Amino acid sequence: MKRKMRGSRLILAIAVVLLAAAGCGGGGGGGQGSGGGGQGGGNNLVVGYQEEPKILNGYIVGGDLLATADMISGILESPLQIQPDLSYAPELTDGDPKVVSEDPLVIEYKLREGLKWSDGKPLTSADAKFTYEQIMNPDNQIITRIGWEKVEKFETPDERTVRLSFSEPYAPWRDMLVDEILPKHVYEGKDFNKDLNNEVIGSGPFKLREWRKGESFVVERNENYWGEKAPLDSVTFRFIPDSNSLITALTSGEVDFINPPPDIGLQERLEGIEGAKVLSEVGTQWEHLAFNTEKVNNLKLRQAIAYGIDREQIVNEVLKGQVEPLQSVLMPEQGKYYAPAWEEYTFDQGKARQLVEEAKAEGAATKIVYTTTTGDKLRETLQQVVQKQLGDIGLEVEIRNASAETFYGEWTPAGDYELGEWNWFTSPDPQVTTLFSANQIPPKGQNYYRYGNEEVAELLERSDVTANEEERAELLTRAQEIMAEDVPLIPLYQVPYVYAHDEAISGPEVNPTLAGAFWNIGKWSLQR
Amino acid sequence: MISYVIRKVLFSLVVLVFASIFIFGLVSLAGDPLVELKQNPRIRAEDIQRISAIYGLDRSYPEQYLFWIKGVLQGDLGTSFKQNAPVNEIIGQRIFPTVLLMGTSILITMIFAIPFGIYSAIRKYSWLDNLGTFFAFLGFSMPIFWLALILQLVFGVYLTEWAGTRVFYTSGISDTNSGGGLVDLIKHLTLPALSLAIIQSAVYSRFQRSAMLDVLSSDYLRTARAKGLSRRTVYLKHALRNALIPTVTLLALYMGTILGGAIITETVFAWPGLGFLFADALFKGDFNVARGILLLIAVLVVFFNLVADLVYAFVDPRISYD
Repeated sequence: MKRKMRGSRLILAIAVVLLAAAGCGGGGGGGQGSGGGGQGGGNNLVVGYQEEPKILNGYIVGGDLLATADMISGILESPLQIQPDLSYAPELTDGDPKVVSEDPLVIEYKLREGLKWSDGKPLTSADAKFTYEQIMNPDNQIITRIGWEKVEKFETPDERTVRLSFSEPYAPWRDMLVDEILPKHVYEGKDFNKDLNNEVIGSGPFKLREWRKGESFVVERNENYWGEKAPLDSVTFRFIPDSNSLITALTSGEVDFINPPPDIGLQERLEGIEGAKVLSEVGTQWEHLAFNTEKVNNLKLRQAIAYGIDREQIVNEVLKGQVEPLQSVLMPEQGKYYAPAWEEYTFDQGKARQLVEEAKAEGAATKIVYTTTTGDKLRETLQQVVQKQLGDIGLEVEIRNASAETFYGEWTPAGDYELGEWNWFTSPDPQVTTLFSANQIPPKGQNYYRYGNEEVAELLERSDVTANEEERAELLTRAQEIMAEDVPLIPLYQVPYVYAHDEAISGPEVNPTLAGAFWNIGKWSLQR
Repeated sequence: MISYVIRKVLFSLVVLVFASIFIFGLVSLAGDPLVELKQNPRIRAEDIQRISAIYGLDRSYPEQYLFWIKGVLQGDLGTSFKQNAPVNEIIGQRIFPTVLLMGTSILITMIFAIPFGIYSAIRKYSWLDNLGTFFAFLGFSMPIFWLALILQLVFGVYLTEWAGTRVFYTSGISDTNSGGGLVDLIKHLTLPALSLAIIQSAVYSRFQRSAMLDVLSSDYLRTARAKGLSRRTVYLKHALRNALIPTVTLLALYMGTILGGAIITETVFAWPGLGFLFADALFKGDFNVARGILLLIAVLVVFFNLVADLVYAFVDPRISYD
């Protein structure tokens, strides 16, 4: 039912994803039915989960893994929840939050009637305020207070009403309301850095039964749930780090549900499992080719590369047509904010060759170093395709990869690359200022492109303080158009999410946002 | 004798000091614990700085090392970056599963490999010995992750399908929904223990075979046979006991690494032991946990080496104390 952590706190577990996927294609073909479904039996669901969380408090350092968000997904709830279509739907709120005033920004929301914690105590605006105070308490090892630090006044006029007054306009305020609310009566006076690490009490459809470290995390139905009670008796998350073992566990019927990381041929392999249903959807994690615009400073050369790469072919080669090429730095699902500005770069080798010649005449080098993380089969395959395509337009590509630690920790922040490849995780809110503003070049922000267009910087920064959605969309559209002309990067595709589960389960629906696979687990059921 | 012991102990301590520096340095170089935060567009540079300070990562390496080693000397392996909990406790939870898995696999290995090695030596070049040689080399050259996958497929998937009921599990240590118990444990333990035992048996059976062959060709055995003792007495009473010495030594030295667990096997079978914990800690940048496990292994290896040295000196008159 819930999306646990908010975008801002969620951390990519990409490094882990890269490690997945040993060779050896075993696994396919085995039947699953014979095992009689998951080990749970009855109304108990078993999920094979790749990564164990470190702690359960998603607000503090260590709780930044997707695993933490997924484990507490059925336990804690927040005012709003991100839906599969990237919209925000009320979860604890009674209807949409109201924008009382745009400048200064004042937001007000009302909690639903009859909300309860799993111990039966009422959930009120005091709990929301308590949570806010924990976020702002300087002694707490909060990952980021982005947004919250702009809140000047946090008022609770009555038991169900919460009013936030901001010191300045802040467009992505909805992202703050997907932060889960914690029970004041349980955690008041406790050590926020320690006491929520191994147990948690929430208001969601499930409550924690047991966490066996290294082994499993079990939640059971919350009989005190304020909403419709969950059909499942319990959900066991079993930690199986190896991708092959994960698939084998589903094949052999030891687990009922898995969501392994993307890999070449993954979908075909999962579809080969008898008795399993496969769901797939593209998400808000997007792969792209990045230029260090200080090193690859010739615009014609960057444009030549954009024309010379057949993104259609790349996507088909690498992901077997599961996805379409992405045309901007925002996602189509972001609606009015998305401008498909990179569409103009249709594959055109003639134009690309001509641009290369012009760039050469301007003194640009025709050799480029292409860098990404080692050990990722998807990326390595993609690199070879790109290398070949750029070879066809007269550019020599040298591949030089590094471990995820070196690549993300050193090379990209230091600008130690020419052409790079990686992905970003976007939240539904279209804020991309830290990535592309000229004022966000490292160490300040994450403009690893060292993209210095002042106009774009201004448009992005203005969009962040524009609460009016139409105006904000206009600013962002303009920024995307200018960026497409400057080509500091070439978007490739949205990373697909793949779930596979026993046909006996109904309810799973891919939520390709940070809300994660278990966003609606309170509605899942088993028929066997 | 006393000076020999003191010398050996001091030498071991020096080794441990170097090992601790090495462990600290290598793990520090293994990456950046904050790499994931640095990839997150919503985490700002000032957040990174604040978190670095919480972990003490803003201090120099020598300072960090001294801080760490000071705790270690008092028996405190530090605090996990990611779990905000004592490393001692985190490691402690994983010792039992690892000892169980490694102990079982060694036991299977001994029961199987030692008699087989001895038989191979006595019946050298018999068809059974040749077959053993074949499988030993197969075992040497087989990557354990591959063997593990095959076992999972054959005994986890196909056998379950064929039998219509679950015989062995391919992952985990217990079935959380059916209450556990010894039978459940064995169903989970069999496949990981078997894959380790198969690989280890290849090593030990060869080792035992050559140790036995050495003894069989020695003069005193010829003498014993010349005296007219039965084959049985010669092999079992005179040869076997001497031929076991090298194996026992090897095993004793191996004890130290047992606690470290088997990283690959534990990961493939999702076995909640120290090897699994180590891999996870290293990849997630939970450095104090990774360091703690490595240090534990180092201490045990050095300790068992020391014991072996001292016992040797005691039982073997050819080793001088001076």
